[in-house]
Amino acid sequence: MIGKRLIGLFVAPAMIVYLCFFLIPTGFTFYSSLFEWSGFGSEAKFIGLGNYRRLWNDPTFWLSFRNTLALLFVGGFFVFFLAFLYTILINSGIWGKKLFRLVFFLPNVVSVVALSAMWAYIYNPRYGLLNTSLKSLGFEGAGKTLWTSPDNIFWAMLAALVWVFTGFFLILLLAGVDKIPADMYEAADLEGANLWHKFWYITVPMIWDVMTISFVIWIINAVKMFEFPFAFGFLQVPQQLYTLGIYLYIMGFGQRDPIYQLGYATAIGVVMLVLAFSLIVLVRRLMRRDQLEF
Amino acid sequence: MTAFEAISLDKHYGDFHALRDINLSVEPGEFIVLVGPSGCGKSTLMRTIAGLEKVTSGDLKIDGRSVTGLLPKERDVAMVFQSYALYPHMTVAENIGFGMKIAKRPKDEIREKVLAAAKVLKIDDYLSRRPKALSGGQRQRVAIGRAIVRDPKIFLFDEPLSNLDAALRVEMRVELARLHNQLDATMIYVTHDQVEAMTLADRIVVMNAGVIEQVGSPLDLFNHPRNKFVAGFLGQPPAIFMRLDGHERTGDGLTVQFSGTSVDLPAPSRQGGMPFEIGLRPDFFELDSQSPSLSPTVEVIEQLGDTTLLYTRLPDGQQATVQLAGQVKAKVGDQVPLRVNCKSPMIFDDGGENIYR
Repeated sequence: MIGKRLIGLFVAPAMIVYLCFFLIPTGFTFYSSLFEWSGFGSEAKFIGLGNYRRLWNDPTFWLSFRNTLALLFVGGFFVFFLAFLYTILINSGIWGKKLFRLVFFLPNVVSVVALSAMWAYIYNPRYGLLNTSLKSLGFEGAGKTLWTSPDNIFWAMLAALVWVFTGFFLILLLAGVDKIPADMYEAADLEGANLWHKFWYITVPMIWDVMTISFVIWIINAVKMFEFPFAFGFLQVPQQLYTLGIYLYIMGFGQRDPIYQLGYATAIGVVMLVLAFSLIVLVRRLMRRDQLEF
Repeated sequence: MTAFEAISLDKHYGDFHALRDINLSVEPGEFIVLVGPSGCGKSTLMRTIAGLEKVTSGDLKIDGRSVTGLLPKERDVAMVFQSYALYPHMTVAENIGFGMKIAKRPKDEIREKVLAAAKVLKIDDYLSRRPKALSGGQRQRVAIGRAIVRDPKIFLFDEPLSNLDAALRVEMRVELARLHNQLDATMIYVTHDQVEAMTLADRIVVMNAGVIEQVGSPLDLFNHPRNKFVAGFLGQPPAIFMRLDGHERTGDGLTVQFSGTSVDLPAPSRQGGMPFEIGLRPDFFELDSQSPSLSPTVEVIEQLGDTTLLYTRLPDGQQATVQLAGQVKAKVGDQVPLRVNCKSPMIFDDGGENIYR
């Protein structure tokens, strides 16, 4: 039996790191969101909930908030719809399982900036792959679409983002599916189950824990989404692409005019934290279930 | 009509020839046990019957209808897996009723059939439990229940008792025999346990290296094995084989010499090749202190209460397993006086075939 003091001793280094680099900064974020502060110098002015009141009346904040929600739910729907679809197809016993897994995952090993550049080329209205393909297939009208016009750019970015993230979640789901014993599916084959039955009655319940963690990872990623839409907008990110993360960066570090507004930016950070935290709690509660034993 | 028929079945996995020219027909209501060492092809044969593996060539018929190209679900067979393959997230009732549920049968009918099957298997008290709350034997019954409700043409059992402990295995064995009588269904059962094979089967199919070595009733195979492999596989402890030093065909029989003794046997049932080895089951040896023909030295003694097993060595170095009735007082190093009584003679020719089959 290890003494309580000894346990404390071993846990202490981890606790200290956690405290210094996570808990204190998080607490400080809440604290600084109550100040009007540029982030430099000592002229922080306590304004209570002033920053939050300002957020409430800031149309750019609401645009970023709507974009983040669209990314979270619309993007999430397509990411998981495709990831599940590919899971079914790849596990139906087709040839080249490992090859497809590799191909779908590949976007995740490439730098986001390179991916954005590639998609910029694809979406280029005149020479882009998308429009030239559409034209060569005879869709003249669709082939003239300005994919990166203010009306379309967010959804064009979202489509590319779905393409990047699907592979990652596909890998997670496939890893969960791989641990399901093969004879479960064989027994179902003998009972007359089709692909959908096997997916719905066997795969989904048996990878429930993997699904939960995948949803949580997606929520965290989506709420703090920054680099992909930012790189997609190149140097001047149009407001149509703003997410909470981007708006936080612009307000806190990216816009010198009138001056850096770190206090205001931390208020956005607090909103992101609360949003992510409450969604995770909600998902975990909705998906709570007994541990399975195979 | 036969319930099941395999005609010139072949199965290759790449270069590996898993099944070679399998021919087998099963009568309705028969309990067939496929038995053999691991890797002999018995499970592969069962999986091809279920449709989980495709055959390379040959034909499979169920109830006279060719099923070779059909999907598993179209074959009307049910299989009990070695691991039971129960769905951990479903209750016992849901597990048993799964096939009917996806076939969209009415709920009342499902409930009724599940309950009926559960009563047969005495698991009707556990219907709302999950598999993890059941013992190994109960899980086994659920897996069987899942097969029963489908009322299939053929039940397939893939080593269903191998995950149970010894006592439970014996109990479930009896239970399965009873179930077979009750359902009067055609059952094909795979095992590597020759005791299960002997006790359950109407007919045993002994397989080795992808080939059917012999098909027959348990006692037929035990008493008249076709070759050395079958003789050595059935029987516990296994039979031993000794090289013959000489043989003589007499008017009405055959006299063979081995390890310094000679035994008179009736006439062989077939000509065969040159007699080469004798097969001796442990109970072919009897105590004879008057005129012993063999006196091997005891190396290991196992007292089983009703019988005594002696692992002995003959003067010429060959080993012999001896099973004697009752509790024989003997010590390691003793020489036991024995005679040989070949209750069902087994003499193998130079090709390993029994000339007394």
